[in-house]
Amino acid sequence: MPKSGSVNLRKFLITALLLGVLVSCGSSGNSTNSIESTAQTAPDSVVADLPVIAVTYSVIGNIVSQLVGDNATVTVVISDGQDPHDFQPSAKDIETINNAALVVSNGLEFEEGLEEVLENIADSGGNIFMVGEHITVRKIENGDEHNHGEDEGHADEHGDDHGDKHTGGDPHLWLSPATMLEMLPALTSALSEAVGANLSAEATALTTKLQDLDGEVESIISSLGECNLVSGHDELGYFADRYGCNVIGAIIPSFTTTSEATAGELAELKLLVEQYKVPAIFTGLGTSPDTATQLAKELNIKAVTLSTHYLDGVTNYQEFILNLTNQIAEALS
Amino acid sequence: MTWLNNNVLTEPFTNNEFLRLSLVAGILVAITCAIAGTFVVLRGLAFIGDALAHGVLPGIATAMLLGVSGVIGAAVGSLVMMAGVSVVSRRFRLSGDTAIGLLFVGMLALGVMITSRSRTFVGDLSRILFGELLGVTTGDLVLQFVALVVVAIVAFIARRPFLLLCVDEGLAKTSGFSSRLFHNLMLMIVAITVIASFQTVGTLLVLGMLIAPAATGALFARRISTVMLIASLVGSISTYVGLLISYHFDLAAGASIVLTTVLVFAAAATYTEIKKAIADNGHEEHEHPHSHAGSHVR
Repeated sequence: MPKSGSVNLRKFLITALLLGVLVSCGSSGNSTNSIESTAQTAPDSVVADLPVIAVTYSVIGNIVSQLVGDNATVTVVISDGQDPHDFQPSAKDIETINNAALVVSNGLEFEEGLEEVLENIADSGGNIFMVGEHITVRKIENGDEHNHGEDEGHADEHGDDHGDKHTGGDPHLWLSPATMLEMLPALTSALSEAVGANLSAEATALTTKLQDLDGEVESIISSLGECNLVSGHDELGYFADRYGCNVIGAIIPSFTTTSEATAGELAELKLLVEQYKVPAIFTGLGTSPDTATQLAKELNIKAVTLSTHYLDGVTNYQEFILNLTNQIAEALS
Repeated sequence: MTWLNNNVLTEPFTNNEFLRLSLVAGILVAITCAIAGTFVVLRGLAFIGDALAHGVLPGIATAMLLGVSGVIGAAVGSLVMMAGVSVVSRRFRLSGDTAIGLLFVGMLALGVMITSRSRTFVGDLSRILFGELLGVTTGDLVLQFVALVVVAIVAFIARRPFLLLCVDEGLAKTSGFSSRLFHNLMLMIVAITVIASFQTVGTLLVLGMLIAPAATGALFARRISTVMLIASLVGSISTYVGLLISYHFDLAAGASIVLTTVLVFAAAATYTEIKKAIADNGHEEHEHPHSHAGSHVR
């Protein structure tokens, strides 16, 4: 065995080892999180005897937490920072979902990577609650691409080719407290059954909080006068519909982040922004930050990053919505 | 929209700075890929070119995870890739193809694992694979230009050994320079091209830009510099056409460009086939005693 060969092998193994160390440092942290309920701090491991509610993402997870209190352990599958639109579950994630007393998901094909798992549970008669089935779904009419208002020739050319990958409707239902109020009764009874406790008191308390929140957001937005929204992908629809804002367009004019921006759509968006004198574009999860910055630069407006798909460090849903509202109001004033 | 109007071809660019930036970036990528790609095509490096294009993925993903520039990660990834191929093929005496294949899928799988567990969406997998041509920054342009200059200089300085490597490897080995060194140098300029270009057209599509324009050039020319020239023209024009397609038909930009290069090659290949068929038909009518062995294009 020639000496140079074994030296090379050693170098290769050391490189591989270093790479392996890097990888394990980078991806430390569990794929599922137990989040705090309002009543107590949930321990990292599941407390014995408490039923587990598996929620797909943290926004709805917090609503569930506020309802179940210390009657159950709430586990969020898609951790903050990961894109729920294209999250791919690990075997452990799927196990968590399958073993839960109740699975709460968004519905409307939001969690594209979890589709099959969730469908299997529904088909086999398991306990799953899809929020989208209990609300008034926001849909887009065919041919009129994403409410462009007065749009010269372009809407006719595009028709319904690529705009909505999911013809079921807009999945971003959590962005309106009114929509949350709509599904609250059904969610409460599903949770009550799963945890074996009467949650009507908690539901009443939460209802009041959400109604107050709804009123607060409405007063902030109505004080703006004009509210024209341009977002990263078509995510602000429910918010806009509820509080009287107009969705002018999006960098990725689709309900999902897994589409790509095209030159034609970006150019069209620029024209609309100029036409409606939109003062800021909102970008965030799944949108190319460079594209948003470049657009903002060309249009001489601001590009503001919004956290719309996960809690991003706030304590609860109410704070999440208020932060969002204030950011939008500040950018548009 | 009036198709007779010249504005259809220029207005998208005059009205939109982001399209102008994309065009410049695309042309820089095209020229860089033309130089490196000519060697890829003439020397049969397409597989390792593809492997490099994908093998940099874990490097990029790790770099973004650590908050370091993706370009540095890509550089490290390509070094690991090339070292790995070298070790596996020489030490274990497996064929080059096998070694490349092993490292290729290993690195790609590693890259997917890293991005799928990353807590930030900055390392978004599809963005690395397909690029962000419509979000090009002036910083990207500078990087691309530097890469072009480096690749051009190396290709120029090493032009004679490179030429020998492409034409006759046996002659190269007896010509008194290390063929292994220059082979690795060739791989290095391919790696540099991939590293510089992944932010624009993405790693998946860089390979298309490396191969199709140069393959088109190789249909018509035999001198390396001519092949490169044709490849640069094909790549640049494809960028322009691809961006127009993305604009007028609402299609993905990077993919439109690469598909155009492949269609150009198909058209060129068809043209040469027709030309050859006509020429052959013409010759059948007069019976020539001598063979046509010398008239093969390659």
